[in-house]
Amino acid sequence: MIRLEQRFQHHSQVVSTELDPSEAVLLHLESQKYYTLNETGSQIWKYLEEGLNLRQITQELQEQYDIGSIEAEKSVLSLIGELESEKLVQSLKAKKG
Amino acid sequence: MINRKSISVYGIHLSIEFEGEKFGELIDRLTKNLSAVIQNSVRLKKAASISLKLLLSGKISIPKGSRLLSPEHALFKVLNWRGMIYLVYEDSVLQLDLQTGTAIGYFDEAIFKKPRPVCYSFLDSSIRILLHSQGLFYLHAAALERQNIGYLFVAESGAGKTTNALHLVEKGWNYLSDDSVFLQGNGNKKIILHSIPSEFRLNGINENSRKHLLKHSFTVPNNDKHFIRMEKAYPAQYRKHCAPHIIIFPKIVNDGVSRFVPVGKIKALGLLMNESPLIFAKYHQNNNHLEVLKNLINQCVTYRLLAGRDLLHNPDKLFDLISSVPTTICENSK
Repeated sequence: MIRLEQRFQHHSQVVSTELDPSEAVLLHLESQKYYTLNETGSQIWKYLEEGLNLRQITQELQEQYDIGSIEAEKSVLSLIGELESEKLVQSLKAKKG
Repeated sequence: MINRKSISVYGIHLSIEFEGEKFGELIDRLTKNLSAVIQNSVRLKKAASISLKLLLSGKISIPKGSRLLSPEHALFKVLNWRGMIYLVYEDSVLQLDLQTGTAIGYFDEAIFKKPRPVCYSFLDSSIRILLHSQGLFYLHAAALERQNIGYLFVAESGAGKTTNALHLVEKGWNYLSDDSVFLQGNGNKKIILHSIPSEFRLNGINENSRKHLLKHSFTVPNNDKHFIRMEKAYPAQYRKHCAPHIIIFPKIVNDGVSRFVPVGKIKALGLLMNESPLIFAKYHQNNNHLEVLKNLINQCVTYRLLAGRDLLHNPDKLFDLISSVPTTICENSK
């Protein structure tokens, strides 16, 4: 089960590019499948690269989109779950404390 | 005896060391086909560079656990192991280091007894992979130019790229290639196409209107295609480079009426990636390659050509269809 304290990183087999601020494309080099992310997804993808944990990402989204914590958490956990199942992200060990 | 040659290929410095005399003719032909310029041995300052060493003696071992990248029917095997690429044809092996842009190759005696295109293609493939390591990315596409507007026809084999390209050349269009080009970013997100000169490969020359091409074409054993020497048939229409403005993705359909349909950026990028694949894992050029494809999409307008039966019966319609594609958008993208 994914926890908000967890950090994730981009999978080493994935390259990505932003087509415009509202759309990103990810390519998995091994499967040769490509995926698209909408504006929110692209923003989460960038936050992962910056090293934020999922709780921090949730807080950023709440501020950016003026939404409640439950809605933000749901978005983040749902997307990360999908990205992990497609092997686009990998979990890092959660920091203690 | 070791010989040396230095050439410039699309602005990239290539130095080749080769053992003996047998490589000389191959390298001369390669030089001509890659539109290379012979330079003296002084390396240009700040130019990207690649180097190749070709030997007639020695052995290169393929590491255990190497991943096969090439399909089963491919002429050569292409294997990947930790940032190294191996091209293998029977007992001849080329080892390419993508990080440093260097390669070493051992050519067995037997490869020189095969038809000339085999040995040439083996060497040519290694150069293309090395150029890739310096930011020159291969795209499987036909490329033409008309009134300073560059057109790319991007599709898998059999979709009609050569047929369309030849028909347009016969109408007076200029051409870079019917099959493949190099993409290069020039630093400010603009993409340039470079020709990879080779013969147009056509399935038969049957029509009376094309009989004049027979004297400029040849065939090879075990291959049904006619190889048309375009530099002889249409010498004034050859272009080495151009800037692309329109990308067309041809698709053969069963409909009676051919038409253009706009293609969105994401779909277009996906179609481009099929014909300019990123296949090497943990490779320093992957991000650059993807950025170049993205910039190409942003620079061009993109269409799907649904090619129906009417084009089969009346190829002239292709010219009319393309002429109807708006050019005002192209002006903005220049």
